[in-house]
Amino acid sequence: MTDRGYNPDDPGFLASRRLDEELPAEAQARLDAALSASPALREEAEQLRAVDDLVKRWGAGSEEVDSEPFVKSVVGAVESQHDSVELRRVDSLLAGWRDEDLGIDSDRFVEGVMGRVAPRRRAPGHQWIIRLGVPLAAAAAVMFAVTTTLQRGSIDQDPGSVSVDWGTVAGTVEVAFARSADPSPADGLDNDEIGFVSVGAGPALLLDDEAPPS
Amino acid sequence: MDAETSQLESMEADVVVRAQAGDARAFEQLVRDYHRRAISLGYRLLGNSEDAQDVAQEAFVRAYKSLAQLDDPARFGGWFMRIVSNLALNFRRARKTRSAVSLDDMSAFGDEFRNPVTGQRKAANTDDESAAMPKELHAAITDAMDELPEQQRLALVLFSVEGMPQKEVAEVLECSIEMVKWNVFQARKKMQKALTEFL
Repeated sequence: MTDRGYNPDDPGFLASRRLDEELPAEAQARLDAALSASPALREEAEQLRAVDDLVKRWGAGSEEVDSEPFVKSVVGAVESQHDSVELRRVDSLLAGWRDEDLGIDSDRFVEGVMGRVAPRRRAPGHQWIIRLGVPLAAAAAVMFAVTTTLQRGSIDQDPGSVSVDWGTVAGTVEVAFARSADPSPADGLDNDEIGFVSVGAGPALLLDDEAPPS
Repeated sequence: MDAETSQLESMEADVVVRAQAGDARAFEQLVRDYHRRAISLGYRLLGNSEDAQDVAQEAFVRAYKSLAQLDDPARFGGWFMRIVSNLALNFRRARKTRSAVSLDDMSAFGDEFRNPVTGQRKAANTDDESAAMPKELHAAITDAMDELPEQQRLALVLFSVEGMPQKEVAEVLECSIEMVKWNVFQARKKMQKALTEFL
């Protein structure tokens, strides 16, 4: 579309617009003043009107339409396209479905997920007590029992057992020694003093439903 | 826009929506409503009734195929007439390159011309306005129209001959209403020069 030379104040343009009855009053007044002052413009305006009349007459009078044959031929042509158009319509619907705005508030969604995930990542305090506290307490109980036994004198004696009760975890820790076949000290140290290590015996941490080693 | 026009547009938009949903009868209604304008515009741009009907039919088929792409059903008229005009202008260009222009159904140099819709030859009209126009003048106008730049020709035909509102013409030409007015003016000036001896 060219707008080359477009001049909304061109008197000829105003005259042309007046033919179409869409000239505002203010522009009409300007045109009238220009027409009064210029015989050439008056002639041009008259010729534009004559051209408009001719064009309208040229375009008139050819409307004896026998519609039915044409409409039928179009409908027939369209029906032959029906399947492909239906497929395209389905495709179009799918495209619309794919592009549908799901109304997702990404920030809120992410926040919600993280809100549910975060507590799982931080174990509750009592769980940490169970995971670390129980083994440490058991080890302390064993050491206590061993130390007590050693202070009493002989490692032949059963070092005994200690009851444990931490609420969710309860039971009895028993300490026993398994004597090796060779009673001689391997490291030259006195068995009576730290025999538990030197005689190759090890403490066994047993739950109360298990029998201690003989 | 008066209430009656608004109501008609609303009814047409409803038909378009139904056609978009695959209602064949609704599309047939659109064909009935628009085929005269389509053929007439094709005829004014091509000067040949058979070509005009071919172009109009092709335009309906294309409209049917791409109807789903029409976002605003109320704009069907401008959208469809743009399809017609584009096809007609493409056809015209192709025909020119073939250098085989046939205007045998124009009344330019014969004693008869064809009905642009039925394609049937008929004697020069005696019962309509154009019949009162001397053949020589009719031919001169046709030639002058033929010489106009496409956009000016289209603007003049759509607005002055087909009587389309400037707003719809602007939609067809994809330009502003002001440019429609300007193109009509430019077309009239060129026609004025070409037809000087008849004025």
